[in-house]
Amino acid sequence: MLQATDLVAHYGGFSLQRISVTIPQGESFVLLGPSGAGKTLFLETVLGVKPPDAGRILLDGRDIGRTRPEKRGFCYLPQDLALFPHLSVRENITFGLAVRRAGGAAAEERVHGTARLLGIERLLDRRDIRSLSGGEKQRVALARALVVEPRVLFLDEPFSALDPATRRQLQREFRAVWRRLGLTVLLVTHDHEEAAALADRLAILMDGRLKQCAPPAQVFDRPADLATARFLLTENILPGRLLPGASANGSHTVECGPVTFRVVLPEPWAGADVVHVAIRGCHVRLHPRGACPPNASVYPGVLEGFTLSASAPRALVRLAEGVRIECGPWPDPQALPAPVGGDLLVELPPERFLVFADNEEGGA
Amino acid sequence: MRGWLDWVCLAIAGLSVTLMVSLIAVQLGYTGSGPALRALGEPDVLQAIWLSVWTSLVGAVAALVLAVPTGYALARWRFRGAWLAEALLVIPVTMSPMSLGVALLLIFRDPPGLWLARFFVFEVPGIILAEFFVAYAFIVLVARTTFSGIDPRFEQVARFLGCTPWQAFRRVTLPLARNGIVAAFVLGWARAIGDFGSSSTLAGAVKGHTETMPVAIYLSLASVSIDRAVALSVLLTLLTVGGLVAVRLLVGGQR
Repeated sequence: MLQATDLVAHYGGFSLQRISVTIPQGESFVLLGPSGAGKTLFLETVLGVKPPDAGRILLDGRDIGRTRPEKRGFCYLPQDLALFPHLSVRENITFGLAVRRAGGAAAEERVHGTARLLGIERLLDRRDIRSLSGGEKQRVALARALVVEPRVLFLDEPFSALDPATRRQLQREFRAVWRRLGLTVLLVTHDHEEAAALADRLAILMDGRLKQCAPPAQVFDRPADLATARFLLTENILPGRLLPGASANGSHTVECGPVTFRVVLPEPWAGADVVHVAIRGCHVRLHPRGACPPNASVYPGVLEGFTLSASAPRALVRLAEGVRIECGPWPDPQALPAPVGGDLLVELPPERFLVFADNEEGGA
Repeated sequence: MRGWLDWVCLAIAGLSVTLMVSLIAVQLGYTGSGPALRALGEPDVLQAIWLSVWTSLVGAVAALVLAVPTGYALARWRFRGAWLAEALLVIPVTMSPMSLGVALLLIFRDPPGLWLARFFVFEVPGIILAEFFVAYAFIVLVARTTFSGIDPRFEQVARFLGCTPWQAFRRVTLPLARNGIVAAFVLGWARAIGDFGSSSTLAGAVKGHTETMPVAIYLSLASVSIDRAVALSVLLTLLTVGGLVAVRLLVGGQR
């Protein structure tokens, strides 16, 4: 188990603000944040590349803050992979074993086993590392790290230079390998899709502060604050005003321009009345006019069209002048309950609404 | 696709090569190859060649041993005043060779230098010391540039694969810097073997004792043996060019 407790570090004018995380053995932990959030600084501080200003780093309960990098049992895949260009593929993979003077049949079997696991056995005799494709380089870099059987594997945006198809394929394969080996992984990225695909648990880092730490579905469904919701590209964020009083079922009313929404306030609620509400597109349901489900919070709207997205097109519905809701993803536009320009009903479940007090913008 | 700029640069490069070749050609044209070959048979010339070769090699190797860690430190460590340290280290490049010789001579004027003077002043180790300083500055400059061009990430990754700092340097950084360091050494050695001003000021121009090739050329000119001076000059030029080519072939840096 890897623990960072109240970690403070600075680089230039930027600093990490008392970051605490605990990563159990075998967990794939992803730190997600925008560029400049302090992800790499956090990674390098835990790795030992940069000394922390305060805080502790524990591995299985042992303080490793003063342990030299080569004694920590970590392996590191930086963004550019740092494959050694003066060595062949085989020499790169066996580098860690050669340093440990581990040779012989057992070492050779470990190299071949790892290469087989990653599908790169045919590359072992390749002399020039520069002749490898982007995906092959990723596999060789991972193999180089895995043969030394690290306690924790650190990855810094390792897939960012790959084309989307290769990236997705490698993410699936790498995750399967980590799970099979029971490897503890700490990965930092700014890519939401990557984070969702690779994380057992996801932490959001913004402006040097840890905003949230939870399973990915929970993070994407319930962002901790408005800034996090905006970073996670939560759809349908609207400014509004919380009207006083609650209904019998405990829901409240938020006025967003000409439309009022029924929402359920989060617990505990700070009591602010200037708010932002948001609802993810995947929680929005569309119905034909006249087919109103009983007890549902439905709003009349007009289907305006679709947002541009190759993989996940979303329907765009106008509820009133200036109030539009993205619905979906909607894989088959033909299956919508109305044609473009047609009337329909939009169901916005109150419990699916996120309500942020406006003073939460900065996460304070 | 080649544009006019490529052709202009190519033409300038061609002119430069011609200019350099002409430096040898005019010397050969003055005497022909006969005197140069004949000079090779003279014992004092052979002694001068041998003295030049071994003193410059010892000086350049000693400079390499100290300049590589210095260049590495300058490239890797960011500290206040690094630029000043670098400027001070390359003083021998900016100084006139004669001034460097005078400065070295003055070191041996007072204790503790005075106690060592008998080993260096007007003695062969003085040649090595002067050539060391001349070579060192060149090697530091090139080594620092070479190490600056190598991503420190390689060493970080090597550390996490189990390397101590020394192992990471030896197994990763040094091999990556090989061509640059060889180039630095060759430049330093070529500068050392051709040095006259600083080494003759410290070690003197004593015929048959501290008579390196440049000293032999100087002594020949002083005694108006122009043919011999030119022949020795041709030999020295061929020696350094031969050395450069040999090293390039050895390290596989040729294209």
